[in-house]
Amino acid sequence: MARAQGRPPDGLGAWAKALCALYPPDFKRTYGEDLRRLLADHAEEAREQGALPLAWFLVANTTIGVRDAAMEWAAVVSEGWTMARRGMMGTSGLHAVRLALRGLIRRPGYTVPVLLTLALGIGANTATFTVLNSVLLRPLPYPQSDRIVHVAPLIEERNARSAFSLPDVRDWELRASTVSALGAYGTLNADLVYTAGPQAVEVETAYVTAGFYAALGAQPEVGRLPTAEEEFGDNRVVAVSHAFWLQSLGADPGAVGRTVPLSGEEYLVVGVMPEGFAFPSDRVDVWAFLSIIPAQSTPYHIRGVRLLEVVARMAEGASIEQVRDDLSSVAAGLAVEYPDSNGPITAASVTPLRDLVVGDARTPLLILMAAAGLIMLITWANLANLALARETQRAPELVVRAALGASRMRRAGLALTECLVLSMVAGVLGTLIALGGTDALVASGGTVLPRAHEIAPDWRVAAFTVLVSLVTGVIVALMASARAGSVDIANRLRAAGRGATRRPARGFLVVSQISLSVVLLVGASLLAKTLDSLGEVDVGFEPDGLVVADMTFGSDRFPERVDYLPRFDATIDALAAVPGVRSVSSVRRFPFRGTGEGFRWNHLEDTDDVEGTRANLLQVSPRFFETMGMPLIDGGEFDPADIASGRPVIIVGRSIADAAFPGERAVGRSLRVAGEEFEIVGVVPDIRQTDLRGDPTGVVYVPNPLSPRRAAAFVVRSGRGAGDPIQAVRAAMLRLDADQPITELALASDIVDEELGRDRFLTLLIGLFAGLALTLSSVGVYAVVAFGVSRRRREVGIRLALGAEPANVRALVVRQGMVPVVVGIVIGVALSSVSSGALERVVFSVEGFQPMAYAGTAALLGLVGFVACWLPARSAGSRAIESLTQE
Amino acid sequence: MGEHDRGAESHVPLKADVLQILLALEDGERHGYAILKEIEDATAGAMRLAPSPFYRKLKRLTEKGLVEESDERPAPELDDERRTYYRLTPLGGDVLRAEARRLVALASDDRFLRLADVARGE
Repeated sequence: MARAQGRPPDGLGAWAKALCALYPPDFKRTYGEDLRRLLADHAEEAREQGALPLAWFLVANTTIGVRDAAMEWAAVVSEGWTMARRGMMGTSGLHAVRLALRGLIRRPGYTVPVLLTLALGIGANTATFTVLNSVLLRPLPYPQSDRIVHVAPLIEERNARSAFSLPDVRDWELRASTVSALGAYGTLNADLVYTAGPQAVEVETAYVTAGFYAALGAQPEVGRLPTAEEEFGDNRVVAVSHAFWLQSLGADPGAVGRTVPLSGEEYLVVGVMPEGFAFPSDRVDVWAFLSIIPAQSTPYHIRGVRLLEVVARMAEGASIEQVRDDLSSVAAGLAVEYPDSNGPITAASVTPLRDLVVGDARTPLLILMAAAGLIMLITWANLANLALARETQRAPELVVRAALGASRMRRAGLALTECLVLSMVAGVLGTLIALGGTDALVASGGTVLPRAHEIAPDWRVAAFTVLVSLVTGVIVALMASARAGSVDIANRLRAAGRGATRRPARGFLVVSQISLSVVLLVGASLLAKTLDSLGEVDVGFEPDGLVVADMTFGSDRFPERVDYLPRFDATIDALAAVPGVRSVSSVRRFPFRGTGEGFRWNHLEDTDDVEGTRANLLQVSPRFFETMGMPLIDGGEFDPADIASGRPVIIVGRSIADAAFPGERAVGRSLRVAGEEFEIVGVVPDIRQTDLRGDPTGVVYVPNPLSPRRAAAFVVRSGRGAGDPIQAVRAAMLRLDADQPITELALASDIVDEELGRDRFLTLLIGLFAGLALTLSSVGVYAVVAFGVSRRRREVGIRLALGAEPANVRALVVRQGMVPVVVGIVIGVALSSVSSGALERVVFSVEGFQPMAYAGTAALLGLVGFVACWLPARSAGSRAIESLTQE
Repeated sequence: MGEHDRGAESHVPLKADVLQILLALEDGERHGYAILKEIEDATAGAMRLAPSPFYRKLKRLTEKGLVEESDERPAPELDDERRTYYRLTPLGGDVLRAEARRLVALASDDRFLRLADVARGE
C-alpha cells in the first residue's frame, strides 16, 4: 500500500478522497489511490485556471464520479448474484448448499447471533408493517372506497363541525349535485333489545337512511338491502351483522325473510351484511331505518336538533374540492332559508372516510414503524460487525483454500451460498416471529387500533418482507463477496493482521448503532415515564373491587317515570343481596363512559346576565360515595329522608366548592344549578370523569329521583374473596329480570386501565424495540472490540514483552473501544431531542426536557459499551503472549 | 496467427477513447496521469478523459486482458514509485494492430479518400 505522501491534504484532497471512498472495496484497492491522486492533480490544475473552471470541474467530476461508483457497485452486485446463481444451480449447487450448511452449523458462535439478529429485525418490521398496512394503507372494505367521504356541517365562524338533523339531510341529499348518494346514520343511544334468547340482550343499533347503503356501496352477504320504499310507512325492516346472524340466528339462511323480536316489536330481517362491514363501528349488529323511532322519544325530525352523521359517495369525476364547494353552497343556501336553526352553518366539511376511521391511530403507528425501521438499521450495522469478526476467524481457512487453488469465484461463491442460506432461514424465522408478533400487537392494541378485525397479512406485507429480506441479502452478500473473494494471499500468508490499518468504517458502524439505540431508549423511557405518571393519576375513587353494570330501562317495558324508578330500587336491592357485596349504588354515567349532563352553576345573588360556570351533573342513588370509595371531605351522603321529601340538595366536588366559596365552608350554602336553587349537603374529592389528562372535572351530584333518567351504571363493591363478582352480578340480574339487558358489565379497574391503553401499547412496543436495540448494539460493540483485539494481538504481545503492564494494555483497549461508543451516545442524545419532540405531540405529560431519561440512557449504554469492551480486553494480554509463542 | 488473431479481431472496432488509451501505452508503460496527458497531447486537446471514467475503462481493459499492471519499473530516476504503471498485454498489442489494420483498410477506400477531399473543399 502506498505511503501517505505528497502535498498536504486540503479541501480538494478531501474532496478527491471522499469521491474515491464511494467505490466498492475491490475497485478501491486497485485503483483508489491512483484515482484519488489523479482527481486531486486535475483539480489542482483547474484551480490554477480560476474559480469558475474549478467550480465546473468539481461539479462535473462529482457527478461523473458518483455515477461511476454506483455503476461499479451495480456490477459487484450483479456479479455476486451471478456467482450465487452458479453456486446454487450449477452441478455443484447441492454440494455448495451442504457445504454452507455444514460450515454454518459448525460455527454456532457466528450463525446463531446472525440468524437471531436477522430474524428479529425482519420479524419486528414485518409485524409492524402488517398492522400499519391493514390500518393505514389498505382501502376500506367497500367498493371504490376512495370515493366515500364523511360530510359535516361547518360553523365557519368557530371553525367547528356540527351534525345533521333529518330535514337537513333530506335537503342536502336533494340539492347536492356532486354526490351520487348521501345518507345519514346515528346510534342515538337507542339500542334495540333482542328478546328471543335465554336472556334479553341489547344489540348495538345504527339508525340510517336509505342513502347510507348507497353511499357505502354496501352489498349484503345473504338476502337484500332495505329499500328506499321501505324507509317510509310502517315497515319495520332491518339488516343484521354477520356476527349477529352467526350468534343469534344460528347462521340460518332461512332467517332472512323472517321476523325477529326486538324491543317488543317484530322486525323483518331482509339481509345479512358481510363480515367486514363494520360501519359506523364493528360493534353494530342491527341497521334499522331512522323512521321507526317514535318522534316523541327522539326529536330528530326538528331541523335544529342535530344528532346524525352523514356519509356520501362522490359522483363519478367529481373531486373532493368540488364536492366541498357544492355542499358548502347547499349549506349557505339553507342558512339563508332557515336563519334560526341553520344561521351559523355556512359551509361543509368533507373528509375522506378512511381518515375518519383511522383517526388518531396514524401517528402512533408511524412512530412504531419508524422505531422498527431503526431496528432494521441497527440490524444491518450489526451484520456488518459480525461479518468483520467472522472474517478474522476464517482468514486462515480462506488463505489455505486460496493457496490450494480455490478460485476467487469459488471462494466468493461459497460465502454467498452461506449468506443466501442464512437469509432464507432468517426470512422464514422472521415471518414466523411476525405472525406471532402481529397477533400480540393486535391483542395489546385491540381497543386502541381501528380496523383491528381487518388486520392480516396480504400481498403488500409479503412484498415488504421479501423486499426487506432481499435488501438484507444484498447487503450481506456484498460484504461477504467483497471480503471473502479478495483474500490477499500473499499478505495473509506473511502475517494475518500485522500492522493493522485503521478502518474508520468499523467505528462508524458502532457510532450509528449506539446513536440509534439511544434514540429508541430515550423514547422508551419518556413513554414509560408518561405511563407511570398516568398510572399514578388519582382518579378520585377506588376502582379495585368495584363492578360496573350499565343498564337502560327501555321505554317499551317501562314507559313512564313511575314504571322505572321502582326498578332502580329493586335492582339495587337484588344486587345488595349478593353474598360478599358490601354496598351498591348507581350513577347516571360511570367515569370514562360519558360526562353526564353539562350545565352552568351560579351564585344565588348572581343576576340573570351572569354566565355561570360549566360543570357536569350526575344523578346518583344513595350510598354512592361509600360504594365508590370517595370519602366525604365535609358534610354527609344524601339523607333518604331528604330524597323522599324531594328536598333540593346536592353534593359537589371539591373544585366547585372551592370556586364557589373560596376559603369558606360550602356545606349549608346554596347554589343556583341550571336555574334552580340547591343546598350543598356534602363535599367530595374531584374525580376523573372523562380523561386521565388535564384537570379533573367539576361535578355536581343530585339524588336520582330528583332528576331521573332511565339509564344508569350500577356500581357494586364486594369484599375480598367473594368469588367472581361479575358472574355473581350477572346471576343476580338474571334472577331479577331475564328480559332486562345489561349494556356493559365490567370491573371498574379494567375501565380505568383501558384509558391507559394507547399509552401502554406504544410504551410496550417501543420498550421492546429499545431492548432489542440495546442487545443488538452491545453485540455489535463486543464484535468490533473483539475484532480489534484479535487483529492487534501481535502488537499487544510485543508491548507486553517489552514490559508494558497488562492493566495498561487492557485500559488502552477499553479506551479505544469506548471512543465510538461515547461519540454515538452524544450523537444519539442530540437526535433524541429532535425525535422526542415528535413523541410529545402524541403522548401526554412528557413535559419538556427530561434530564433523567437522557442521563439514564447515556449511563446505561455507556455501561453496556464498557462491558462489551472489557470482556475482549481482558483476554487481550494472555492470548497475545500465546500468539507470540506460536510464532 | 489463427487462434490469437481471431481473439484480437473480436475486440475491434474499438471505441475512440479505448483506442487512445491503447495507443498511449503502445510505446511503453505509463501511469494513469501520463496516459491522460499523452491522450490530450496526441489529440491536440480534442479528447480529455475525466479521471473516474478513465479508471473504470482501465478496469474493463484489465479484465478483458488487454492491459495489465506492470511489475517492472522504469529507471529509478524516472520512477514515481507511488503510482501504478500499466502496459499492453500481448493480446492488447494484437488488438491495437487489428484496429490499425481495420482503420487503414477503411481509409484506403476510394470513397473515403474522395469524401475527405471534398470535406477539405479541394
